Amino acid sequence: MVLVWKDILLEVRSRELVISVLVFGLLVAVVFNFALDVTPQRVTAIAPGILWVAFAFAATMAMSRAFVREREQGGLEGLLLSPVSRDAIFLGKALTNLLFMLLVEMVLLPVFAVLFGFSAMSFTLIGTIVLATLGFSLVGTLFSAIAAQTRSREIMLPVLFFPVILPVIIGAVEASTRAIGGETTVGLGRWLPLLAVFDALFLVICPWVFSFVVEE
Amino acid sequence: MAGQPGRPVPADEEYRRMPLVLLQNAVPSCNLSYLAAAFMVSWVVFFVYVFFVSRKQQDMSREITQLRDALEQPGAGDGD
Amino acid sequence: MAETRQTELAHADSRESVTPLGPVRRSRDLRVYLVVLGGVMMLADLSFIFWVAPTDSILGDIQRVFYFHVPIAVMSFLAFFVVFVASIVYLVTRSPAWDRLAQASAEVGVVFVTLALITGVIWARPIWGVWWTWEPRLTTTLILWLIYVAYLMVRAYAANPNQGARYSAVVGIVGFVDVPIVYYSVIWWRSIHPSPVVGPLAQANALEGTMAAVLLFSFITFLILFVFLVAQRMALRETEDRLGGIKSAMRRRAESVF
Repeated sequence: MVLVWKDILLEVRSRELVISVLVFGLLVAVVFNFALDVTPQRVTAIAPGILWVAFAFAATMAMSRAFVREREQGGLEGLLLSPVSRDAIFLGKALTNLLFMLLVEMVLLPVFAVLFGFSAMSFTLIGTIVLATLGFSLVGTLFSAIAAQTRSREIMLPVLFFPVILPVIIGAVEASTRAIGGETTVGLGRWLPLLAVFDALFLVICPWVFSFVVEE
Repeated sequence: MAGQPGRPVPADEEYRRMPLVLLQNAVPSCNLSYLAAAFMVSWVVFFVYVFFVSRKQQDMSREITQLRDALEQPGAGDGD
Repeated sequence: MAETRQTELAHADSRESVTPLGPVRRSRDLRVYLVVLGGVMMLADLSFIFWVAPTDSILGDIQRVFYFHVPIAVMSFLAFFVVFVASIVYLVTRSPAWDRLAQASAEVGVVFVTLALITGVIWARPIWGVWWTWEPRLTTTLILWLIYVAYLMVRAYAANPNQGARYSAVVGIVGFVDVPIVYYSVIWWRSIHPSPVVGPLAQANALEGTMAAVLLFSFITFLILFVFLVAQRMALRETEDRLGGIKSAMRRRAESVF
């Protein structure tokens, strides 16, 4: 996928977005630490919530950029004129967002683990993050394509994104609570399938409706 | 809905008993004011919505007629 | 000169409806029937609710909110289902009539869901002792409200009506598909986080025969109200489209003159 490489190279080279998203994630950690008074006894209950608030907001920040840049430089028109299918464009964009978010989360997760004192090296936690981030990127890519074309697009993306993504946030928080709490399999049986079902469903729907979003 | 093992899930019985306690404390007349409030709100919202839709409809219909009238008078539309 | 302009504009105006007055007048008649029928049924429904339906032995009079609250909530789900179907058909066929239906249904649905939330909150206070509880149905209703407010926002903020129709259709489809997942995730979430007050009370005592009959009547009444509101809103949208058509035709004329 040349498209994916092009986008990732652009992001990494500009570094602007990576750094701002990372700093934003850290800020969330610090602010919530004081807002919720995280003590070692309560860390299992609170830390997953903070983690996913940070990830979800970082995701909206990152994805709001995905189509704005294309729009500003007219890249999307070029892409649409090329013989690449709409589905491929969508999946390429979603994959870019997925990889970008995973990169950000790979940096943020150890930092969160150190700050709040939980173990990040859990297979289930990683699995949860991958599944949930896939859900974020599918829905987020679709809605950022919509939001980029509307007025007041900074507002539109979160307004569209958060209600739809709610099941993913619930599932991710619950699954990570189990993972951080040390229950490796118990209780995960329900949440990981929920995330997987969400991903599968939107993997089918989003590319289909995306073709209606970009037609002009 | 199987509860999570290791987590205390209150028995169904407890769920059922709790609201009854609350109900016994509730004053019946107080109940009626809630009832009245619910019905009033529903009616007011419906009427306001219908009112706004109808008024906008009327405004637009009037605008259409005005445009038509303006066009039917020869010379009136030639000023542009 | 003036005549050609006139016919051109008349043409632009009537492009939407081939016979200019027929369908409009017929739909207006239909709406008048609906509003009269709906009004009569609503009065009958109110009298049934207060004089025919027995007072609930446990909950008391407040239970009568039920006859309003449940049909309103169900109608809002119906409205969003209509939005879902109309959005798909619109995207496939591109017939503006389906887009009008989707928009009207979404707007009326938001009105209904807002009322369902308000009456739900008013019901919760005396029955459950709190204004709000994160109960699955309440929570799902709140999420529905957020999704379809976003739907209306997308339509309002789109660059042009055509784009707004497509974008909001996409939101209407994605949002509706999401609803069952939201519902189940909240149910599962609830089963881990019990809050002190929960109301399985409504389900606990089954509806008595008279109550069920009154509820059914209420359903039909609100269905008629819903159809009336959607028809009214669609008529408004039709007028909006016609006005838009005339205005753009005039603008084109003005541009070609210069």
